[in-house]
Amino acid sequence: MRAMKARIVIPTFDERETIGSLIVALRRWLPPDTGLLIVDDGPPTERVSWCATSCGPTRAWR
Amino acid sequence: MRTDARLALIERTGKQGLGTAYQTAFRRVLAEGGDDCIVTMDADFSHDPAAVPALIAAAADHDLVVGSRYTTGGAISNWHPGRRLLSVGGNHYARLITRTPIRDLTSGFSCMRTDFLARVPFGEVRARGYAWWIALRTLFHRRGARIAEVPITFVERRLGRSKMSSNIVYEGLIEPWRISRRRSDGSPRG
Repeated sequence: MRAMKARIVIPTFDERETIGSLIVALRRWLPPDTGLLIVDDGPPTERVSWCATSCGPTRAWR
Repeated sequence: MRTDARLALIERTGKQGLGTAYQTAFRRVLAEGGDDCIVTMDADFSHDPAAVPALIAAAADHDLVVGSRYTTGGAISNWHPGRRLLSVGGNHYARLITRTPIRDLTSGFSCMRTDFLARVPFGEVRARGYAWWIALRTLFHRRGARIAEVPITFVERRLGRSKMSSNIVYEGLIEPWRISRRRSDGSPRG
């Protein structure tokens, strides 16, 4: 049977301290083609610091 | 700079609530296609990333899999008795009124099959807080979803503040009654 392909959806507001390590941990446990989608409601000034090193080209999607 | 094409960010202006965050994400995932299921989880490690594969595996033959604190084998770590009582009581209350047979109706840790989610009118759910989950799961149940609860250990967030507020508690008291009065397709009774 074919493995289920999943997308992980994670809403964030004030979790900037943990989201980076969570992404790393998820990568350890999930197949490499698993997509992650973060929905962030936090202040934009704090957003860039964690996103700059990890977000792909779809970052600007709204 | 390193980038990861498997990681996408939706930036929203200001705190618009849990419900609309998930609605926005679900619409995008369904529009893009290609995924068999959607896993939802918190960003603060209260949901163990090591438990995600078990949720995905259970979605092979279930439309909705709930990472459950209240099914046999489930647990909660670091909650004071008052917080635990609020959650247990709230779940019991919501289950009684909505008649949705899920022990952990408010868990944010779950896995849904996208083919079933596409048939659920999730855009009509107005709740913003934890009651969003009660409403969504009631819609799944009323549409005949195959539902499973997989035991998890929930760990109270180590950083940041809990999102629990008096507004969320109030919504949790009112929303189950509103849901119970809606038809199975999610529309209000005439």
